[in-house]
This record gives sequence, C-alpha cells and structure tokens, in this order.
Amino acid sequence: MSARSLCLLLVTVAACTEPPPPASRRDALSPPARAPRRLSAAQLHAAIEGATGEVWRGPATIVDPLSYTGTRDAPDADLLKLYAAGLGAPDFNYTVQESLEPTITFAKYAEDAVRATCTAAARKTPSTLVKVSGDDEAARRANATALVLRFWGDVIEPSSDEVNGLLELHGQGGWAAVCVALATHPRFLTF
Amino acid sequence: MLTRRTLMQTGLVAGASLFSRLGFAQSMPALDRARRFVFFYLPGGWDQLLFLDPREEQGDIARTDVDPAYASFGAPLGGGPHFTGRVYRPYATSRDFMLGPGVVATTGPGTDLPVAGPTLVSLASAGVPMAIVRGLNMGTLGHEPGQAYFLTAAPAQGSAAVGASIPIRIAALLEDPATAAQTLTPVLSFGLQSYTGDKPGRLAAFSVGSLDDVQRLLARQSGLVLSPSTEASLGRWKGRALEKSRGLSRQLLQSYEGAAEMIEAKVADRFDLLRGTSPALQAVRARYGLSAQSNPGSAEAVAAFAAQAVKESLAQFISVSMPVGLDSHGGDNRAHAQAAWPALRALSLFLDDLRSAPSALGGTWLEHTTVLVFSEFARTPRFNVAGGRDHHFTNSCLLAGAGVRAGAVVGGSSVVGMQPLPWDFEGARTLPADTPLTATRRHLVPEDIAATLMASAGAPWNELRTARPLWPALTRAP
Repeated sequence: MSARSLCLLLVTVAACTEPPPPASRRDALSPPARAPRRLSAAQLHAAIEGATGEVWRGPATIVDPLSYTGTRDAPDADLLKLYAAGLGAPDFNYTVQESLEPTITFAKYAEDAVRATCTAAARKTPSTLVKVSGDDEAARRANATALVLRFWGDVIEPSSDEVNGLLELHGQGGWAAVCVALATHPRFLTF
Repeated sequence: MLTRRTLMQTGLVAGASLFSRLGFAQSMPALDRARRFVFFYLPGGWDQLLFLDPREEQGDIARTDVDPAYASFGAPLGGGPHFTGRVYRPYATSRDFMLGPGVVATTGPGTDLPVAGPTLVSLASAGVPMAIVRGLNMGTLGHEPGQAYFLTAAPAQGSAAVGASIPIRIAALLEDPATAAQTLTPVLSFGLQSYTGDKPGRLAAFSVGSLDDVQRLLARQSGLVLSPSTEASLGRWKGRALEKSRGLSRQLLQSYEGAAEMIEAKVADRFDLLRGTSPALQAVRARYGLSAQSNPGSAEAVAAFAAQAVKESLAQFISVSMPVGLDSHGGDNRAHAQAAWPALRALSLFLDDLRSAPSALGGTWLEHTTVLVFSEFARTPRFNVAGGRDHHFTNSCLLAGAGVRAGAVVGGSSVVGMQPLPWDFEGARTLPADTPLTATRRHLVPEDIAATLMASAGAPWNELRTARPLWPALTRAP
C-alpha cells in the first residue's frame, strides 16, 4: 500500500469515526458495574493458598474408589476440597451449577480454613506473613500495608484507620490474627 | 378467569359455597409458619406388598399377577435374625388402614412375636396420626429420576432434577423473618441431595453427610480457636466492617455472625449423640438403643439426629436419607423386609420420640411436625427368575404427624397387576382402572403429595400447576 493510499484510508476512517461523547454522556452510556460475587470453592482454595502459602489439611475419611470399602482414612486430607459441596461446589452428578450464596456453612468452613492456614503461616520461619521485618511501629505498619495489598489488592496508607485496626489485632494475636482478619473480610472473599 | 382452582390457591376457600361439591367441608388451615417438616427417604425402591399396599389374601396369582408370598417368610432362605416366623399377614388397624407384614419384625426364629418397642402398627393403634397414599404413578423406573421426582415434585429431565426441592419450596412459602420458626437454619439435608433452584440462597440446605459433619459445622476445633483477647479484637474488627458494609458484603459478615452464634451457643454439644454426657443425650441413647460404640451411620443414629434436630430447633425442614439399600432384585420377601427393618424401626422410634417430647410451641413436637416417608418407586408384584422383585412404578408413601388425618388412606392399586388406580379429586374416592383420565380423575403423582404438604400448613400450592392437595381426605385442620 502506497503512502498516498494509506493517508486516504486514515482520513476516511477519521471522517467516519464519531467523536467521543462528552464525559457526562459517556458516563450515562456506561453499563452499570457488575454486582460483586462470592469466591467459588475452587477460587477460595486458590486464594487462601496464594495469600498464605498454606493448604488446610487434616485427618479425614475420604472417598477412594480403589479401596475395598470405597473410602479410606487420610491423615492429611485437603479439607477445603473435602468440604467443597458445603461451600457450594457442584458434584456434577446431581448438580452442575455452583451455589455462590453467602451461607453460614460457607462462612464456617472458610473461617476454619483461614484460621488453620494463617496459624500455620505465622509459625513458619521465616513467616510467609512477614514481608517487612522489624520490631518498630514503622516496620509493622509497612508489613500490615503489604499484607493488605496481598490479600485485598488495595494500596492503602500506612497511617489509615484500617492499618490502625490491624495493628490492634497484631498486638493481641500477632500476624496470624491480622491474616485471619484480612482473609475473612468480604474484600478477600468477593470480587 | 376466576376458577374454583384459582380461588382455592389464593386462599379464598373459607366459606365459599362453590367448594361444597369438592368436599371442602372444612376451611383451609391458617398459615402455620412454625410447622416443622421431616422427610425420610428409603433408597432403592420398596416392596409395597410388604409395607404400605399389602393384600389381604394370597389370591389367584395366575389371574391377578400379584404374588404377596407372605407364607415364604417361614422358608429357610434369606438372611437376618428377624422375619423368621411361620406365616405373616398384614396388620389392619382400621377398615382401610392396613400395613404389610414387613413393618413389624419378630423376636427370633420360629416365633410370631413382634419385637419389643414401638412399631408402625403399635403407633397407628395408639392413635398416632398416620396416613397412606397408594397408587402413586412414578412414571419412571430409574433410581435417580425417581428420587429427583419425589424430591422436587417435578419429573426429572433424564437423571437431572428440575427446580427446587420440596423443603426449600415450602420454606420459601412459609418464610417470614418476623414470625418464622426460630430455628438455627431453615433447611437441613442429611445425606440427601437438595436443590435450591430459583429460591433464595438463604434457604439453601445446610448439608451434612454424617454425624461427624454435624460436629464439624456446629463447633470449632480447639486448634482453630484463638486467645480470648484475640477473638474479642477480631469480633470488634468484624463489627466495624459490618457497620460500613452493604449488599453481599453485609450478607457475608452476617453469615460469620451466624456461624459465631452457632459456635457460642454450643449447639454441637446437643448433637454429640454417641458421646455426649448430658442427661438428655443419655436419654436419647437409651431410647434409640445407641452407645458410644454404635455406628454413627446406623438408621437409629440418623433417626435420633433427625429427632434431635426437631427438638433442638436446628432446622425447620429436615431431610434424611436412611442408610438402607432396598434395591433387592434377588432374595425373597424376608431378605427385603430384613433390609428395610432398621429404617422402619428407626422411623417408629422417631415418631414415638416426637409424640412424647414436649414442644416449645405447646403440646408435643409431633403435633408441630409433618413427616413424609418415601422411596423412589416400588417393586414388581411378581418375582423375577432370581427370586427377587424388580422396579415397579406403582408407589406409596406414608405421612404422619401434624395436619395428618389418622388412619386415612388415599388412592389404591388394581387387584390385577398392581397398576395405579385413578383418583377422583372431587368425590375423594378411587376409581376403576379403566376410567377415562381427566384433570380431576387421574393417577396420583408426587406433585400431589407436595401440594398436600403445602396445603396442610396453609400455604398456597399454585406453583405446582397441575397438582392438587389431597385435602381434606388426607389432612386435617391443626
């Protein structure tokens, strides 16, 4: 394509393109924001593992088609996967659509998972919950801010009320308590 | 157009003379929002000749194609310690109300003595409100479609259920936050699939598969409990978040509150049926014959849990799958009766428990609880080459408790071949098999059972479209 043809094409396209509407009209035409959604069972599992580096495990009887009875006792079963039906996951046998309702069952299992993984993460050396180490308040504020970014994806001021609340929790239960607070907050559980 | 049916469904029946021809001598019961419902499912398909639709006589099998084979109980085939008497016969507690010989086990080989403790026969004789619906046309011989049909009152699409489960449908009809039954959760499902369909998510079933699941959900393991001061700080943090929240975020935070209240209420202790040390739980174990060594998945344990869930107001709608397997294509009457006996015994213990348990709502819990006992279909009236019975679509179900007319029997099956007989909804009677089917003279179907449950609690049933409640033939005003 020659330079002349290209220029002609660009001029034609520019002539046919409607100028952008003024800001007020543009706002009016914007589709309304999508309603927030609760994390699915699989998303919750991945989100907790991604934020804490831990998976909620424990002893349980699990389905094992290869065993004589169809089940077996596992010492370290992945409990969130085991309780996925209670979290709303379909079994693809009787149900194929995931329930994303904020039920008591979901809240209970999600908080149990968060408490187990946050406690395990805090006990590790070095802890996966400590991004900025140090005993002074500035370091604690910086670490709380870093955890907010990790758990919620939000950048907040180290002097904000939220960080103040998190530091109060840190004073009571260490970074494990901060982790539980962040991971049970709707900002972590919805998108 | 305003039809009689529309009037009925909009609750305008009281005093309407239009209904005299329908036999609506009584007015509709008032809406009973606190009514409890318990659904007992016996998986596998049950033999109606043994349980809810027996025959009085052996009859001419060649002519009727119905072989009750009650005398075969005495034969040396089939396993188990019960049903080893000489000859079994149905039990009739009234002219119409007849139960098959499989509902009462005997004490041991060579005796006809019934086992100790309550049975469906002794309870019916004692006036416990029980009613039977016979001649239910399931329209399917598949386990999953049959189960889904009874659970949702809508024919399944293939094996997939359509719409919401009946407990959730009724929960949506009775729901009123101001006057709702004060239960921890509206719908509980124990080992049984539940379908939310298009109903609100807050009515989604609290699903448990075992007594261990119950403990896990109602309590927090000690390793997951933080220090008291940390728990208090966490509570304040969530409280501040709740103040600022709305919509889904608010619902989530409220769910946390609900879970926290459940844990703080120490409800789990009241459901530790096998190990709990409280006098109440010891009494439960004594009644159901349980001990710390009992199988937590036994029929008695499941029935005891269902009763406890009613008495402790854990849920308003409770569905339980009884741990029995009735899909016996081989084996004789005795083997089938033996397989069902644990569930029927547990059901009898459950009814006896509720009828003697004082309710916070006044009277006993059975006066506030409607019970439905069902299976996905029945078994053939003749034996197959393996000596067992295959799938048969002429089903029956049992209703008991609140709103049920004691000794009522609705519907029936034909003398020849046990086919479903049409039911005359206007005349409240069974019709001959060759009656032309119409909208008001047709076979009974699971939708009619669901409509009956709804109507018995004073709730409208119009969402079930073609269904009609078996009122007042089956139910009574509370």
